[in-house]
Amino acid sequence: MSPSYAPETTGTECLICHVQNSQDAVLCGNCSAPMAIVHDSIAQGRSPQLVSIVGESNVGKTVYLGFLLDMLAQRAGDFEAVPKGAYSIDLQQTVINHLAHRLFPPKTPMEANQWYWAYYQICKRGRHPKWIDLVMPDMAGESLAAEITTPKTFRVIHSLLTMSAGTLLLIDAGQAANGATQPDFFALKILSYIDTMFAGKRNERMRTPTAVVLCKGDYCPEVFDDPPGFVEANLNRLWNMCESRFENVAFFAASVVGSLGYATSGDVDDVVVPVPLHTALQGILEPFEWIIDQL
Amino acid sequence: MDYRSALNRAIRPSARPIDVSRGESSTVQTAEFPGIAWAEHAGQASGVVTCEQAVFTSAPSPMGAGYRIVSASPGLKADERTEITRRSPSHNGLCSRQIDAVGMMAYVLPSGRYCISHSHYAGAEHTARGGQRVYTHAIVIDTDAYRQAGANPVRLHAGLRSCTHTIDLSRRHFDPLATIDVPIMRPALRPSRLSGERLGQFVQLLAATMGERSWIVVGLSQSVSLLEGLVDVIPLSARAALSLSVGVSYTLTRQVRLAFLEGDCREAQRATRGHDVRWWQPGDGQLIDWEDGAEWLAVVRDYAAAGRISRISQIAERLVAPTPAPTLNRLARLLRDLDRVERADEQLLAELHEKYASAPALSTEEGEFIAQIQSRVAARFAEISERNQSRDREGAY
Repeated sequence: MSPSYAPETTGTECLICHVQNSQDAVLCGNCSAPMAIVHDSIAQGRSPQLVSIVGESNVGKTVYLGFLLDMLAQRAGDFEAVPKGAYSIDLQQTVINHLAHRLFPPKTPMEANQWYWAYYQICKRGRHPKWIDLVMPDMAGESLAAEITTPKTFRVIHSLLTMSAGTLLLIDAGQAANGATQPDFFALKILSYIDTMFAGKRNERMRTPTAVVLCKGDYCPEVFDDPPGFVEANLNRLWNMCESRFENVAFFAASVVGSLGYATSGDVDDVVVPVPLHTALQGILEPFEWIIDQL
Repeated sequence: MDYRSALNRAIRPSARPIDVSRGESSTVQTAEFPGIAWAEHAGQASGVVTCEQAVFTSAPSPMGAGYRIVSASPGLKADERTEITRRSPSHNGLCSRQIDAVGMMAYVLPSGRYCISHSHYAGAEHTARGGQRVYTHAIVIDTDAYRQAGANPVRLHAGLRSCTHTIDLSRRHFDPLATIDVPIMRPALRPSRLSGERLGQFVQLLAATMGERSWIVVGLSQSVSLLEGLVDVIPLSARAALSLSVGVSYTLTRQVRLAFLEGDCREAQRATRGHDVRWWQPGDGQLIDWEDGAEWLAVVRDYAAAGRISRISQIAERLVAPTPAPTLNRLARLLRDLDRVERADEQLLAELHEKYASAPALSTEEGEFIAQIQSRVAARFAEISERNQSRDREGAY
């Protein structure tokens, strides 16, 4: 009595896991990726490239990606960006609306059918403008953690990381500056996972561009002065791994919140709610710009 | 951040919460999800079944943060942990947004052992981001113990509900759990016979469970209370592979065969569009087909209508080997003939005698039925013969 979501022999192939789905499917029956991405890429006549944003739970992936997309949509940094499909706008709308109401957006659930996906055509204006189709999913940090701890727990993550043309690795700089080892270990694990996935030879180094983004810079403003120096000093395991196995890696610092208040709720016991009083974006675009330059 | 933790600690209530990792226990008073009409169980449990257990929720610890198995008994295997992680509901993952909502899942693990879980909301997450934290208490049962406990996940879930506990998520350090003794509840109080709409729902749900397709059932209050009795009439072999969820948000990757949903189902509709998942709402007029086992279904319906469903349960409990639909249909025909013996006249008895004098049996159960029919036919002949002789003697006097 096993479940029967039998893939049909003819239909649409999922862009992420390559399983066949019926033409009517909204989500892939195997990995829950939105089939709209496939339909949109067929309409564009070219395959999109995938940029993964990875990091631990609560590091700020949703907020970072939401603001990044919003900045692109507002033509920041000489970028021109065209969202393909309304679903691509949901994430930035959610993030911007929540922050406008001085709330952080809700936690991303582990269920992949509830992740936000963004499909954008992006071009950096200049002497030789070049359009790139980019797909960027907002993965749940817990799903990433489960997958890197026990590979193939969430096949969608394995597929996404395998396909990624570039990776943005987000790290909580505030925690790292406080001496917590967890951000360092998590980053080490995920880089080790990526390294193992590509299973290069000992003397070969990973060439996929990897931007290490030190988030929540508002907690430790010194991170903006020298991001590589911060990593070497506070995230030494990660630094060594990058040196040993990753050829194309760069370090950045970013911050979204200008000032933060804390509130206790009358309804919910035992919880202090952080309140983003205003936003002051710093370093959001630079890591992405670097990735785009590498593609 | 450190000062946020400090603030959290500062406002935390002073009452020390229950810590099951130290052997303390408590029953969580989860109000029943308003949409779910769980069956009522009366009286003492008939025993206990010892299970491995795991808690899947979001809590910070030195080993990580966010949703994961925060604590488990040592007997839980790695692939079982993976499967529980993959299937358990995460943030806001119950159908209802009411704080007293609960959910249930039951599925077989890659190891062959069976997992039953009970989920409820457990306040806000430590990060205080929106949505409600889901706390899932899962038990894992060995195959033999599962069968000995009745192989009814709904009844075992009732036992779990009666003894579930919540570990103190503020401790930031979670010791391994011990195994847990879950009470084996006695069968729920059920009406002696089903009729009308309830009978129709019962048969439809049975058809959905026995067929090959996956179903989403909308309208919990109408159907979940039937579920326990329904599982009892499913052959034991099929029960070992049953996967179902109640009150848990739907996603294809959970791979449940029977999902009971309530409330806003738009996300589930989006997820299932274009996939081989059917929807059924009691009273929507749609009939669920299970043509392959139509004769078996008809017998179950007749027995349920006659208040004799326990007879079907007894038979189902003995079907340990895989029982395909043709086998069930043959058993249904034998059962009908066995019933006919009791009210047969001499001519019909003669026909049944001839039919089963050398009838081949394709399984042990069939052999036993045939033997019963032969024995009852002989007994009925003897009764009739004795009655005739008695009547003759009375006539002679």
